[in-house]
Amino acid sequence: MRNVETESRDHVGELSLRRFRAGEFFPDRCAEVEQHLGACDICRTKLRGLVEEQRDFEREIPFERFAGGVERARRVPRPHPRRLWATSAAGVVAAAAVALFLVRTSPAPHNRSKGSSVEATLRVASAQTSVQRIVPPGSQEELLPGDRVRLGYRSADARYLAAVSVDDKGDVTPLYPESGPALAVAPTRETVFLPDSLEFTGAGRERILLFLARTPFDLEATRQAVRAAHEKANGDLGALAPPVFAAGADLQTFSWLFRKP
Amino acid sequence: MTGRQTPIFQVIAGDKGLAATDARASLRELYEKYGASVFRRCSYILKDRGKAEDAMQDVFAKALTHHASFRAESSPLTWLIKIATHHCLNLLRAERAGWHARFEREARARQVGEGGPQVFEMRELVAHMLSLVDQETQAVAIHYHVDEMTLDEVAALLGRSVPTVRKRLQEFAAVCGKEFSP
Repeated sequence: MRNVETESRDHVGELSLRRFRAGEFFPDRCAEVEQHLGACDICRTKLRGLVEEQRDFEREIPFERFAGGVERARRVPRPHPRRLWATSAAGVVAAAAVALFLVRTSPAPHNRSKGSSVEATLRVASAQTSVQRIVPPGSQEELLPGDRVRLGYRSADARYLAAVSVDDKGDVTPLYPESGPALAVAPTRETVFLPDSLEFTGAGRERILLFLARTPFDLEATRQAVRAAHEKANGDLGALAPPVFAAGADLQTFSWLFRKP
Repeated sequence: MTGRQTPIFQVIAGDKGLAATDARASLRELYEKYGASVFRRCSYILKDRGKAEDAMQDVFAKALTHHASFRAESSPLTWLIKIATHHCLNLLRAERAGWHARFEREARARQVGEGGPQVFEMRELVAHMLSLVDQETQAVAIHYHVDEMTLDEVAALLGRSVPTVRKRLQEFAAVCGKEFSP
């Protein structure tokens, strides 16, 4: 282990070697490293190892697979893993990240927002049976232990999407995305299910809200609006009015209320 | 999931990201220059190739989403490694990962293949100890001991003072010493 008190540098650090290989250094620093490499077997060997590492990587993960995966992650980021093992005390939603539903998409039923070409859907998969049920937006659903929910959408035009959940205490958990701007989603004639299923932890009630807008909006504004709506409803999730925030006049809000097992 | 065929880098009206062709070229450049480095970091922390590949994709997706600021970085690699480290440590914390359990398993495996658990490379020693410290110290230890950055570099990267980074490293060293004392 390097000694923090007497830090010394006999070799080029690993990150510096990686930067050198990537061509990130200005000419003077580059010349310094080259000079060192000329005299240091250890660093030359290390650099060769990095070149081989990239070669192995490209063999293992070809560019097309890489690009496809990155694009998927960019389009629909995975839900934040903090929800995976959220404590029951926090009462937030947990995502069962691995066990995805095998969902057959069907043209109906969906909930279409009046006067728009936007639809949202939510399916509940039972842990006890292989049966899945569809829960229309605006309804309340009793969940059994192990039940998982999955959100989907369909939109005839490009939209921005975000989903959060809020519990009785007013704790708001971002679902999609975890932070930053709402997700830009492409027009789709078929239902697109967001990645991963979600499993609730804790007791009491939890409301999921899914927002779709034509103009970009920020998740933080959404969270604040949901918190404000929760306060206004005096903590009654059943009386929660659609949160108000700056996301354009055509913001569509879909919500589902669950009673946790 | 739905059988939908979606073209790579579909351009969405109003999206401030890159156009399709630019994004593709940019991504290939990232892949060739930095792919292995980011994947290695993710594998190092997560110890699972599938999870590491997912995490790597998340990191590059962030780079594309924040393309302008990413490009403005003096060292895109340093930015990527920082994001990858942070992201994977978060994943581990989320899983309440049994670093101990996992490394105990690995140590047992080494007893067969490498002559005993005493044989640790530095990076494995650091990984072994990560579960014993908080997340900031984890990041400091990885950047210092694995990336072999200087105190100044680590401090700048994490937005902390050099004395703070030094203190974190001293704490980490103390934990390591305690762990290996008889």
